[in-house]
Amino acid sequence: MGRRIVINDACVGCAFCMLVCPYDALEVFGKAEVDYKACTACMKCVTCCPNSAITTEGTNSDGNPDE
Amino acid sequence: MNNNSESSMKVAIIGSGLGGLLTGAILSEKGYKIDIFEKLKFYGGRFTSLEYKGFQISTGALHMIPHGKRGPLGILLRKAGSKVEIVDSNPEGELLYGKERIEVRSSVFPLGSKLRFFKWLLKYRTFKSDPWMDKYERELDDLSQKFLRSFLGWALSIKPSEIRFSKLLAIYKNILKYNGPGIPIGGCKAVVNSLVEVILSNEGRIFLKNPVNKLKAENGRVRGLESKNGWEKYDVFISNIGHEATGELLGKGYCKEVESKGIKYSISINEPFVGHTGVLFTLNCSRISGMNEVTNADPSLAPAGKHLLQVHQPLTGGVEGEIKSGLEELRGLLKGYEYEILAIQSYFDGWPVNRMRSGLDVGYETPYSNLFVVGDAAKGDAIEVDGIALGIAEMLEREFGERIDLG
Repeated sequence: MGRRIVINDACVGCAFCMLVCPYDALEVFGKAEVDYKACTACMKCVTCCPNSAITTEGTNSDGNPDE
Repeated sequence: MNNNSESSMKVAIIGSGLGGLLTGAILSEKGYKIDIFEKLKFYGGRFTSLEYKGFQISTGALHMIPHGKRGPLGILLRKAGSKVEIVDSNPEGELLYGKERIEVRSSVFPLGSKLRFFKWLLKYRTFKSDPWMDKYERELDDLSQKFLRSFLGWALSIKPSEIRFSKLLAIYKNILKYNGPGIPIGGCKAVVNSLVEVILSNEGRIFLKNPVNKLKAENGRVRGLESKNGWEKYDVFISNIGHEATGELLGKGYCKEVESKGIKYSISINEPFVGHTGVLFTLNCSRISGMNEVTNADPSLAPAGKHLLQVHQPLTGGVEGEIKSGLEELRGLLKGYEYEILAIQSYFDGWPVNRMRSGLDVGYETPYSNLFVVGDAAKGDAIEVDGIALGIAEMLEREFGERIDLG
């Protein structure tokens, strides 16, 4: 299975992820929501979240488990 | 603080929000060697913007400077050598009250309420009577009472029960002194970009994605910091991450913060709703406190033919319920207009409106003689980013001997 972006409860809805996403795959109406059809799990949102509210689950494209 | 030769003094700044960058730019102009550590992949914190669907959506602030170009931030930006242009709002503010739109002027408030204010002032001066404002607001007429709520919600993201008379008085005095708001051309991002330009031109360094993990202190002085660069020594440490998080870096808390929270709606609208460059205070609403339409000053903040309407709501209860109520009010206000809500951003828990609620600020000092805090946890008695600028001006004067004429 591929890597998947997950939003956890620490999300306050600041919208940084929406603003940095190159694929318009995030919307923020109070909380961040991922459009999995558009998301490529490029990790840009994960590294920009000021509250560490975005994590990944599953394995990455190399087939290795995520940290 | 010791006054070593400025050119040899190394200053570490933790966090690249507006406070950190403004301090960094001014000190770099004076010859200090500046290193700024930022945990995120971009600088500016809650005072920058990023493009979304052709709109400049801010990460926090509302593309507005509370006291315009003549206010404390305007003065410090010029001092820092920032080239950013600020357009003062005209009118400064308007009230939406019933079906009427009324320009904010002293004459619109009934005499009875103005006399109340002088009565409170007298009680404060004579008996040091300084209650929270909810005790006083009931003495006001309907319009003045609603304006007080709307103003506090818009400007400070608080309710009357969260500010004392003396603090409101100090903020009011600064409004009389510096007047109303202005809009930076290019939005929040243009402001921070102009400061970064100054810092880099003075050979300052900004390390992105490089959080400070620890501060090491000894005998009341901070000696060094640990980041991805390893352990490094600096002469002065300036923290832009608030008193509480700074204490955590030291492994020793020394201050608890009480944040203020809020919600911001960024709206794309085809025809202007506010129609001017000032603030529209929504007195009819119980949740939403006000809005601005910055594209009336700078059309480049939205795609051609669209306006960017930003609405602010102080947050008191649970986010979901508050957003639902806020949206209901918005639907009523914008009836008949073609609009699209671009984003609903909320601000609390690590990304608040203010780390320290206005009126409770504890100043820039810490228990360490060479560690100072700037930003929204160490504001002076002015609104939002102008309060940040006042806090910085006080620190620069007292700790760096750098007097800034604030008018």
